[in-house]
Amino acid sequence: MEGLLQTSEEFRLGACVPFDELSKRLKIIDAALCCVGRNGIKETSLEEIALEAGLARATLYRTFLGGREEMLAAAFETELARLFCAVSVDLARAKDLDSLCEAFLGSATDRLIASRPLAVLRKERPELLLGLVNLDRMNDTLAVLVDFAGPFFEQFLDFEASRRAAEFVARVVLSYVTSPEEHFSLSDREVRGQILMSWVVPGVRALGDAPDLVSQSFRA
Amino acid sequence: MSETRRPETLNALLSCAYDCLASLGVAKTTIAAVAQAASVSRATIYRYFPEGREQLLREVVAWEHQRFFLRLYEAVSDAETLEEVIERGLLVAHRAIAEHEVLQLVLAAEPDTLAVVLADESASTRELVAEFLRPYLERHALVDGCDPGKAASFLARMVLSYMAAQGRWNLADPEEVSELVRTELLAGIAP
Repeated sequence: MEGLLQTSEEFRLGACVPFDELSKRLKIIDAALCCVGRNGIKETSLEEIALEAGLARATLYRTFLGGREEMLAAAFETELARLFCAVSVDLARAKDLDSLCEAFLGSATDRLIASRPLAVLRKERPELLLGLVNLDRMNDTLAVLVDFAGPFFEQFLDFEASRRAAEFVARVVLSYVTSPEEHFSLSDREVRGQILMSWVVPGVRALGDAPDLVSQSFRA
Repeated sequence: MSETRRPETLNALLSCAYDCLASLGVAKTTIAAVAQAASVSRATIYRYFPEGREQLLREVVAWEHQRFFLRLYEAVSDAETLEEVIERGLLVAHRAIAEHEVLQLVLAAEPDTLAVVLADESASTRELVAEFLRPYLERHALVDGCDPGKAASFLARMVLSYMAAQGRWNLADPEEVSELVRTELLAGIAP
């Protein structure tokens, strides 16, 4: 459980790569994420990123030919990739279908919330995240999440049921994250447990036609 | 500004703007085009939509969004059971969205406008759908300990999610829809 609260800091690969062009990129990306998380996107200048990274401005321009915009885009892509990476570690730990649902719901939500750069992005550029669930893009978003989480569900379900299960849990996360309810939030552990045991686990089990062992034992 | 907005005029302007979108497309739906179609001056349009074309587009989308759910309500409100109302709602809504020419035009030209409007309306839409579903839940035999209000809200979220994107399900196929409703949507609520 404690593991779910950690941020994606543990995936800062920059620290263990030798100092060359690649690690320079990561150093700049980490500095940009740090500045964005601290001061917001608008307030993050190239000078500040350079200062935070301990590199000369010219080095930043040489590494990212597209300048600040390209740097920020790379920073957010990296943050998202680390988030997926961290969630997959949590999913891999699940020993059965119920705990896999719990890990997906919990890990994805907690890590989304714990990421300061992503919180800034949600606040300053809400249309970017909302675009992911807009009618024109939501099928693509779901497809990405299904490709990501489906194989974990395949340990316990046949192929099609595993993909549908992954999609179902992804829908639940996307719905509560993009359209939160003040008094019924996925980030509240009690509420999350309720959502998990009342609706998510029974739905996923029904997809796999597994016997329903849930109702009696968890609902009390 | 709002005190100068008469509901009938506002409705007529939104309706004209909607017709412009349908006949001219998004790019050509300008303040001038809507003024001409509505036989009013451009100044009148600006009095109703002081932020100009963007506001007009946003409000047309919100207006049609409301009408969409009203039509959906009319199409399913004679359903008798919980299963029936959700299944029919998903089938009708899926087809209505796919065949909605103006929605598809706006989606292609101004996806952000749509995203912003849908996000603004998301809580009220969800409450509307939940309120509509709740009596069906109250009449249905539910799993022990199931709170109809909370279950209605969850179902509303899921129904809206499937309306936005069908994902791996074919929502044009009544059998698949029925399978979806039986498993993901109702397994924990009304098995």
